[in-house]
Amino acid sequence: MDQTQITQTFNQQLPGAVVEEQSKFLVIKKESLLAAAKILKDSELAFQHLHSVTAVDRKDKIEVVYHIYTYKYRFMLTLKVYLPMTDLTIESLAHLWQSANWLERETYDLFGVKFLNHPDLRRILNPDVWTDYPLRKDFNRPDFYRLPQTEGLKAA
Amino acid sequence: MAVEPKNQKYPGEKFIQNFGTGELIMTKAEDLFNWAKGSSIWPLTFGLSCCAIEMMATGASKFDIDRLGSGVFRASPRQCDVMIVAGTICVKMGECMKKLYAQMPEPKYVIAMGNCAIGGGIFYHDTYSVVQGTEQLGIPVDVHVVGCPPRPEGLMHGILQLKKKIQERGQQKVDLPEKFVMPENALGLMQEQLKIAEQSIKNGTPRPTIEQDQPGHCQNIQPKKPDGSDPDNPNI
Repeated sequence: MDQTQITQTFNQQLPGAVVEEQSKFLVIKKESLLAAAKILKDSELAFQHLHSVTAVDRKDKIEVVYHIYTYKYRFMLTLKVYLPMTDLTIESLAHLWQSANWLERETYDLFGVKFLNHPDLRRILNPDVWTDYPLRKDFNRPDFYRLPQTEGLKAA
Repeated sequence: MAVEPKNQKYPGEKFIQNFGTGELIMTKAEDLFNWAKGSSIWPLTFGLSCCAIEMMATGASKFDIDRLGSGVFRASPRQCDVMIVAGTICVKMGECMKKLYAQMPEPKYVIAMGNCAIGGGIFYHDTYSVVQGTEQLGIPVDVHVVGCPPRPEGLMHGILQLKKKIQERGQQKVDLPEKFVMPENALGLMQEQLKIAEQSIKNGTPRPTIEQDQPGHCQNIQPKKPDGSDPDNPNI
Protein backbone atom coordinates (compact mmCIF):
# COMPACT_ATOMS: atom_id res chain seq x y z
CA MET A 1 0.00 0.00 0.00
CA ASP A 2 1.21 3.50 -0.72
CA GLN A 3 -0.05 7.02 -0.73
CA THR A 4 -1.38 7.10 -4.26
CA GLN A 5 -4.02 4.54 -3.33
CA ILE A 6 -5.32 6.89 -0.63
CA THR A 7 -5.32 9.80 -3.06
CA GLN A 8 -7.36 7.73 -5.48
CA THR A 9 -9.85 6.90 -2.74
CA PHE A 10 -10.22 10.58 -1.99
CA ASN A 11 -10.61 11.50 -5.64
CA GLN A 12 -13.43 8.99 -5.99
CA GLN A 13 -15.32 9.63 -2.78
CA LEU A 14 -14.46 13.23 -1.93
CA PRO A 15 -13.39 15.10 -5.04
CA GLY A 16 -11.48 18.30 -4.42
CA ALA A 17 -10.44 17.40 -0.88
CA VAL A 18 -6.74 16.95 -1.65
CA VAL A 19 -5.18 20.36 -2.12
CA GLU A 20 -1.62 19.26 -2.60
CA GLU A 21 0.19 15.96 -2.80
CA GLN A 22 3.80 15.57 -1.83
CA SER A 23 5.84 12.41 -1.67
CA LYS A 24 5.63 12.31 2.11
CA PHE A 25 2.29 13.89 2.95
CA LEU A 26 -1.15 14.91 1.76
CA VAL A 27 -2.64 18.33 2.25
CA ILE A 28 -6.37 18.30 2.87
CA LYS A 29 -8.78 21.18 2.45
CA LYS A 30 -9.82 22.53 5.82
CA GLU A 31 -13.57 22.15 5.22
CA SER A 32 -13.33 18.50 4.21
CA LEU A 33 -11.05 17.31 7.00
CA LEU A 34 -13.80 15.67 9.01
CA ALA A 35 -15.24 13.83 6.01
CA ALA A 36 -11.76 12.72 4.95
CA ALA A 37 -10.96 11.44 8.43
CA LYS A 38 -14.21 9.48 8.51
CA ILE A 39 -13.39 7.88 5.19
CA LEU A 40 -9.89 6.95 6.36
CA LYS A 41 -11.11 5.43 9.58
CA ASP A 42 -14.30 3.67 8.48
CA SER A 43 -13.39 2.45 5.00
CA GLU A 44 -11.46 -0.75 4.41
CA LEU A 45 -8.23 1.26 4.79
CA ALA A 46 -8.87 1.04 8.57
CA PHE A 47 -6.69 3.83 9.92
CA GLN A 48 -7.39 2.98 13.53
CA HIS A 49 -4.62 4.78 15.31
CA LEU A 50 -3.95 8.51 15.58
CA HIS A 51 -0.28 8.85 16.50
CA SER A 52 0.12 12.55 16.92
CA VAL A 53 -1.45 15.92 16.35
CA THR A 54 0.92 18.83 16.16
CA ALA A 55 1.46 22.04 14.26
CA VAL A 56 4.16 24.02 12.47
CA ASP A 57 4.29 27.80 12.45
CA ARG A 58 5.27 29.07 8.98
CA LYS A 59 4.67 32.71 9.93
CA ASP A 60 2.12 33.30 7.14
CA LYS A 61 0.16 30.14 7.95
CA ILE A 62 -0.01 27.38 10.50
CA GLU A 63 0.14 23.77 9.37
CA VAL A 64 -1.71 21.26 11.52
CA VAL A 65 -0.12 17.84 11.12
CA TYR A 66 -1.80 14.49 11.78
CA HIS A 67 -0.04 11.14 11.76
CA ILE A 68 -2.40 8.22 11.42
CA TYR A 69 -1.57 4.55 11.17
CA THR A 70 -3.29 1.50 9.75
CA TYR A 71 -2.52 -1.83 11.35
CA LYS A 72 -4.10 -3.64 8.43
CA TYR A 73 -1.61 -2.38 5.82
CA ARG A 74 1.12 -1.26 8.22
CA PHE A 75 1.25 2.17 6.72
CA MET A 76 1.55 5.58 8.33
CA LEU A 77 -0.07 8.53 6.60
CA THR A 78 0.80 12.15 7.24
CA LEU A 79 -2.07 14.56 6.77
CA LYS A 80 -1.66 18.31 6.77
CA VAL A 81 -4.11 21.15 6.89
CA TYR A 82 -3.09 24.73 6.19
CA LEU A 83 -4.70 27.39 8.35
CA PRO A 84 -4.37 31.11 7.61
CA MET A 85 -3.22 33.18 10.59
CA THR A 86 -6.48 35.13 10.48
CA ASP A 87 -8.67 32.07 11.08
CA LEU A 88 -7.09 29.47 13.34
CA THR A 89 -10.06 27.17 13.77
CA ILE A 90 -10.35 23.57 12.69
CA GLU A 91 -12.76 20.73 13.29
CA SER A 92 -11.84 18.43 16.17
CA LEU A 93 -11.29 14.73 15.55
CA ALA A 94 -11.71 13.76 19.19
CA HIS A 95 -14.90 11.81 18.65
CA LEU A 96 -13.26 9.69 15.92
CA TRP A 97 -10.00 8.94 17.72
CA GLN A 98 -10.01 9.27 21.51
CA SER A 99 -6.29 10.01 21.54
CA ALA A 100 -6.99 13.27 19.71
CA ASN A 101 -8.49 14.75 22.87
CA TRP A 102 -5.26 15.49 24.71
CA LEU A 103 -3.18 15.91 21.56
CA GLU A 104 -5.48 18.67 20.37
CA ARG A 105 -5.43 20.27 23.79
CA GLU A 106 -1.64 20.31 23.58
CA THR A 107 -1.72 21.86 20.12
CA TYR A 108 -4.15 24.48 21.40
CA ASP A 109 -1.89 25.13 24.38
CA LEU A 110 1.29 25.63 22.39
CA PHE A 111 0.04 27.05 19.07
CA GLY A 112 -3.38 28.51 19.79
CA VAL A 113 -5.23 26.49 17.16
CA LYS A 114 -8.87 26.33 18.23
CA PHE A 115 -10.52 22.94 17.70
CA LEU A 116 -14.25 23.23 17.14
CA ASN A 117 -16.55 20.75 18.90
CA HIS A 118 -13.74 19.55 21.15
CA PRO A 119 -15.15 18.02 24.37
CA ASP A 120 -12.85 19.91 26.73
CA LEU A 121 -10.60 22.49 25.13
CA ARG A 122 -8.43 23.83 27.95
CA ARG A 123 -4.72 24.38 28.32
CA ILE A 124 -3.06 21.11 29.25
CA LEU A 125 0.53 21.93 30.25
CA ASN A 126 0.87 25.66 30.81
CA PRO A 127 -0.85 27.75 33.49
CA ASP A 128 -4.45 28.64 32.71
CA VAL A 129 -3.81 32.35 33.17
CA TRP A 130 -1.41 32.52 30.22
CA THR A 131 -2.84 34.22 27.19
CA ASP A 132 -0.13 33.60 24.57
CA TYR A 133 1.19 30.50 22.86
CA PRO A 134 4.83 29.53 23.46
CA LEU A 135 5.69 27.71 20.23
CA ARG A 136 4.54 30.49 17.90
CA LYS A 137 7.37 32.22 16.06
CA ASP A 138 6.25 35.63 17.28
CA PHE A 139 6.17 34.49 20.91
CA ASN A 140 8.35 36.73 23.00
CA ARG A 141 8.72 37.15 26.69
CA PRO A 142 11.99 39.00 27.18
CA ASP A 143 11.44 39.66 30.88
CA PHE A 144 11.10 35.97 31.52
CA TYR A 145 13.82 34.24 29.59
CA ARG A 146 17.34 35.25 28.73
CA LEU A 147 19.15 34.34 25.56
CA PRO A 148 22.81 33.28 25.55
CA GLN A 149 23.66 36.17 23.20
CA THR A 150 22.63 38.73 25.78
CA GLU A 151 25.30 37.37 28.11
CA GLY A 152 28.03 37.37 25.51
CA LEU A 153 27.84 33.64 24.81
CA LYS A 154 27.99 32.15 21.34
CA ALA A 155 26.98 28.81 20.03
CA ALA A 156 29.99 26.58 19.47
CA MET B 1 38.52 -9.96 72.80
CA ALA B 2 37.86 -6.85 70.71
CA VAL B 3 39.72 -3.75 71.65
CA GLU B 4 37.95 -0.49 70.93
CA PRO B 5 40.14 2.06 69.18
CA LYS B 6 40.87 5.15 71.24
CA ASN B 7 39.98 7.83 68.69
CA GLN B 8 36.73 6.35 67.50
CA LYS B 9 34.12 8.90 66.57
CA TYR B 10 30.58 8.00 67.42
CA PRO B 11 27.33 9.90 67.57
CA GLY B 12 26.73 11.74 70.77
CA GLU B 13 30.39 11.66 71.66
CA LYS B 14 30.48 15.29 72.63
CA PHE B 15 27.88 14.76 75.32
CA ILE B 16 29.91 12.20 77.23
CA GLN B 17 32.21 13.45 79.90
CA ASN B 18 34.86 11.39 81.59
CA PHE B 19 35.16 11.27 85.32
CA GLY B 20 37.65 9.33 87.29
CA THR B 21 35.23 6.54 87.97
CA GLY B 22 33.38 6.41 84.69
CA GLU B 23 31.46 8.27 81.99
CA LEU B 24 28.46 10.49 82.39
CA ILE B 25 26.21 12.23 79.91
CA MET B 26 25.78 15.89 80.80
CA THR B 27 23.90 18.10 78.36
CA LYS B 28 20.95 20.37 77.85
CA ALA B 29 17.69 18.71 76.92
CA GLU B 30 17.53 20.90 73.80
CA ASP B 31 20.88 19.62 72.57
CA LEU B 32 19.87 16.05 73.22
CA PHE B 33 16.65 16.45 71.27
CA ASN B 34 18.48 18.11 68.41
CA TRP B 35 20.91 15.22 68.36
CA ALA B 36 18.00 12.81 68.14
CA LYS B 37 16.12 14.85 65.52
CA GLY B 38 18.93 14.63 63.02
CA SER B 39 18.73 10.87 62.84
CA SER B 40 15.16 10.73 61.62
CA ILE B 41 14.51 13.10 58.74
CA TRP B 42 11.49 11.94 56.84
CA PRO B 43 11.30 13.14 53.24
CA LEU B 44 8.24 13.95 51.21
CA THR B 45 7.36 11.70 48.28
CA PHE B 46 7.98 14.40 45.74
CA GLY B 47 9.81 13.94 42.47
CA LEU B 48 9.71 16.42 39.61
CA SER B 49 11.86 14.90 36.88
CA CYS B 50 15.00 12.85 36.28
CA CYS B 51 16.56 13.61 39.70
CA ALA B 52 13.60 11.74 41.16
CA ILE B 53 14.92 8.56 39.54
CA GLU B 54 18.17 9.00 41.43
CA MET B 55 16.18 9.69 44.57
CA MET B 56 14.31 6.42 44.07
CA ALA B 57 17.60 4.62 43.50
CA THR B 58 18.84 6.11 46.76
CA GLY B 59 15.79 4.70 48.47
CA ALA B 60 16.23 1.25 46.97
CA SER B 61 18.29 -1.59 48.38
CA LYS B 62 21.63 -0.92 46.71
CA PHE B 63 22.15 2.47 48.31
CA ASP B 64 19.55 2.25 51.06
CA ILE B 65 18.65 5.65 52.42
CA ASP B 66 17.19 3.86 55.43
CA ARG B 67 20.63 3.72 56.99
CA LEU B 68 20.40 7.46 57.53
CA GLY B 69 16.92 7.32 59.03
CA SER B 70 15.39 8.95 55.96
CA GLY B 71 13.79 5.93 54.36
CA VAL B 72 10.23 6.77 55.26
CA PHE B 73 8.93 8.65 52.22
CA ARG B 74 5.67 10.13 53.44
CA ALA B 75 2.80 10.64 51.05
CA SER B 76 1.49 13.64 52.99
CA PRO B 77 3.36 16.90 53.56
CA ARG B 78 1.89 17.04 57.06
CA GLN B 79 4.00 14.09 58.19
CA CYS B 80 7.41 14.92 56.82
CA ASP B 81 10.44 16.97 57.79
CA VAL B 82 12.33 17.56 54.58
CA MET B 83 11.26 18.29 51.04
CA ILE B 84 13.78 16.98 48.51
CA VAL B 85 13.21 19.14 45.43
CA ALA B 86 14.27 16.56 42.87
CA GLY B 87 14.11 18.05 39.42
CA THR B 88 13.04 20.88 37.15
CA ILE B 89 10.43 23.24 38.56
CA CYS B 90 7.88 24.35 36.01
CA VAL B 91 5.84 27.47 36.58
CA LYS B 92 2.68 25.47 37.10
CA MET B 93 4.37 23.06 39.51
CA GLY B 94 5.85 25.99 41.44
CA GLU B 95 2.41 26.89 42.76
CA CYS B 96 1.88 23.32 43.98
CA MET B 97 5.33 23.35 45.59
CA LYS B 98 4.52 26.50 47.53
CA LYS B 99 1.36 24.88 48.78
CA LEU B 100 3.13 21.67 49.80
CA TYR B 101 5.84 23.60 51.60
CA ALA B 102 3.25 25.67 53.46
CA GLN B 103 1.54 22.48 54.58
CA MET B 104 4.67 20.96 56.12
CA PRO B 105 4.87 21.21 59.91
CA GLU B 106 7.78 23.08 61.45
CA PRO B 107 10.68 22.55 61.76
CA LYS B 108 10.91 22.01 58.00
CA TYR B 109 13.94 21.66 55.78
CA VAL B 110 14.53 21.75 52.04
CA ILE B 111 17.20 19.99 50.00
CA ALA B 112 17.57 21.35 46.46
CA MET B 113 18.71 18.32 44.50
CA GLY B 114 20.30 18.85 41.11
CA ASN B 115 21.18 21.91 39.07
CA CYS B 116 17.63 22.65 37.95
CA ALA B 117 16.40 22.93 41.51
CA ILE B 118 19.40 25.06 42.44
CA GLY B 119 19.30 27.61 39.64
CA GLY B 120 17.58 26.46 36.47
CA GLY B 121 20.35 24.13 35.29
CA ILE B 122 20.22 23.41 31.58
CA PHE B 123 17.04 25.48 31.42
CA TYR B 124 18.91 28.63 32.36
CA HIS B 125 18.77 30.08 28.84
CA ASP B 126 15.95 30.39 26.38
CA THR B 127 13.06 28.91 28.31
CA TYR B 128 9.54 30.06 28.91
CA SER B 129 8.22 27.81 31.63
CA VAL B 130 11.02 26.88 34.03
CA VAL B 131 11.46 28.56 37.41
CA GLN B 132 15.13 29.46 37.91
CA GLY B 133 15.67 27.60 41.16
CA THR B 134 13.84 26.82 44.36
CA GLU B 135 14.74 30.11 46.00
CA GLN B 136 12.95 32.02 43.24
CA LEU B 137 9.72 30.71 44.73
CA GLY B 138 10.58 32.18 48.12
CA ILE B 139 11.30 28.78 49.66
CA PRO B 140 14.51 28.83 51.75
CA VAL B 141 16.94 26.00 50.93
CA ASP B 142 19.11 24.32 53.57
CA VAL B 143 21.34 22.10 51.46
CA HIS B 144 22.18 22.30 47.76
CA VAL B 145 23.27 19.06 46.08
CA VAL B 146 24.96 19.74 42.74
CA GLY B 147 24.93 17.37 39.80
CA CYS B 148 22.86 16.67 36.72
CA PRO B 149 21.53 14.51 38.21
CA PRO B 150 23.58 13.91 41.38
CA ARG B 151 24.62 10.38 42.17
CA PRO B 152 22.84 8.68 45.07
CA GLU B 153 26.04 9.19 47.04
CA GLY B 154 25.62 12.91 46.47
CA LEU B 155 22.09 12.91 47.83
CA MET B 156 23.20 10.88 50.82
CA HIS B 157 25.98 13.35 51.45
CA GLY B 158 23.38 16.11 51.30
CA ILE B 159 21.22 14.34 53.86
CA LEU B 160 24.26 13.86 56.10
CA GLN B 161 25.05 17.56 55.79
CA LEU B 162 21.49 18.37 56.78
CA LYS B 163 21.81 15.99 59.71
CA LYS B 164 25.00 17.73 60.79
CA LYS B 165 23.30 21.09 60.47
CA ILE B 166 20.39 20.03 62.63
CA GLN B 167 22.57 18.34 65.24
CA GLU B 168 25.10 21.10 65.57
CA ARG B 169 23.06 24.23 65.16
CA GLY B 170 19.64 23.08 66.31
CA GLN B 171 16.47 24.67 65.15
CA GLN B 172 17.42 27.89 63.53
CA LYS B 173 15.13 30.84 63.28
CA VAL B 174 14.36 31.27 59.61
CA ASP B 175 12.48 34.32 58.45
CA LEU B 176 9.80 32.54 56.51
CA PRO B 177 7.38 34.56 54.43
CA GLU B 178 4.03 34.66 56.15
CA LYS B 179 2.43 32.40 53.61
CA PHE B 180 4.75 29.55 54.59
CA VAL B 181 4.10 29.71 58.33
CA MET B 182 1.62 27.22 59.70
CA PRO B 183 -1.14 29.18 61.46
CA GLU B 184 -1.90 28.44 65.10
CA ASN B 185 -5.41 27.27 64.28
CA ALA B 186 -4.33 24.99 61.44
CA LEU B 187 -6.50 22.11 62.64
CA GLY B 188 -9.51 24.38 62.87
CA LEU B 189 -8.94 25.58 59.32
CA MET B 190 -8.77 22.03 58.03
CA GLN B 191 -12.02 21.13 59.76
CA GLU B 192 -13.60 24.24 58.31
CA GLN B 193 -12.53 23.20 54.81
CA LEU B 194 -13.82 19.67 55.36
CA LYS B 195 -17.18 21.03 56.49
CA ILE B 196 -17.44 23.23 53.40
CA ALA B 197 -16.60 20.27 51.15
CA GLU B 198 -19.14 18.02 52.88
CA GLN B 199 -21.87 20.58 52.53
CA SER B 200 -21.12 21.19 48.87
CA ILE B 201 -21.27 17.45 48.18
CA LYS B 202 -24.55 17.14 50.08
CA ASN B 203 -26.16 20.09 48.32
CA GLY B 204 -24.73 19.27 44.94
CA THR B 205 -23.18 22.71 44.62
CA PRO B 206 -19.73 23.10 43.02
CA ARG B 207 -16.68 22.97 45.28
CA PRO B 208 -15.08 26.32 46.05
CA THR B 209 -12.07 27.13 43.92
CA ILE B 210 -8.53 26.98 45.28
CA GLU B 211 -8.52 30.68 45.96
CA GLN B 212 -11.65 30.48 48.08
CA ASP B 213 -10.54 27.24 49.68
CA GLN B 214 -7.66 28.83 51.58
CA PRO B 215 -9.10 30.83 54.47
CA GLY B 216 -7.05 32.84 56.93
CA HIS B 217 -3.40 33.57 56.39
CA CYS B 218 -2.78 30.07 55.12
CA GLN B 219 -3.63 31.78 51.87
CA ASN B 220 -0.61 31.12 49.72
CA ILE B 221 -2.30 31.75 46.40
CA GLN B 222 -3.09 35.41 46.23
CA PRO B 223 -6.03 36.65 44.21
CA LYS B 224 -5.23 37.33 40.62
CA LYS B 225 -4.94 40.91 39.52
CA PRO B 226 -7.63 42.09 37.13
CA ASP B 227 -5.18 42.29 34.23
CA GLY B 228 -4.50 38.56 34.56
CA SER B 229 -0.94 38.79 35.86
CA ASP B 230 0.18 36.67 38.78
CA PRO B 231 1.37 38.66 41.82
CA ASP B 232 3.72 35.85 42.92
CA ASN B 233 5.51 35.74 39.59
CA PRO B 234 5.43 39.27 38.25
CA ASN B 235 7.44 38.25 35.21
CA ILE B 236 4.83 35.92 33.84
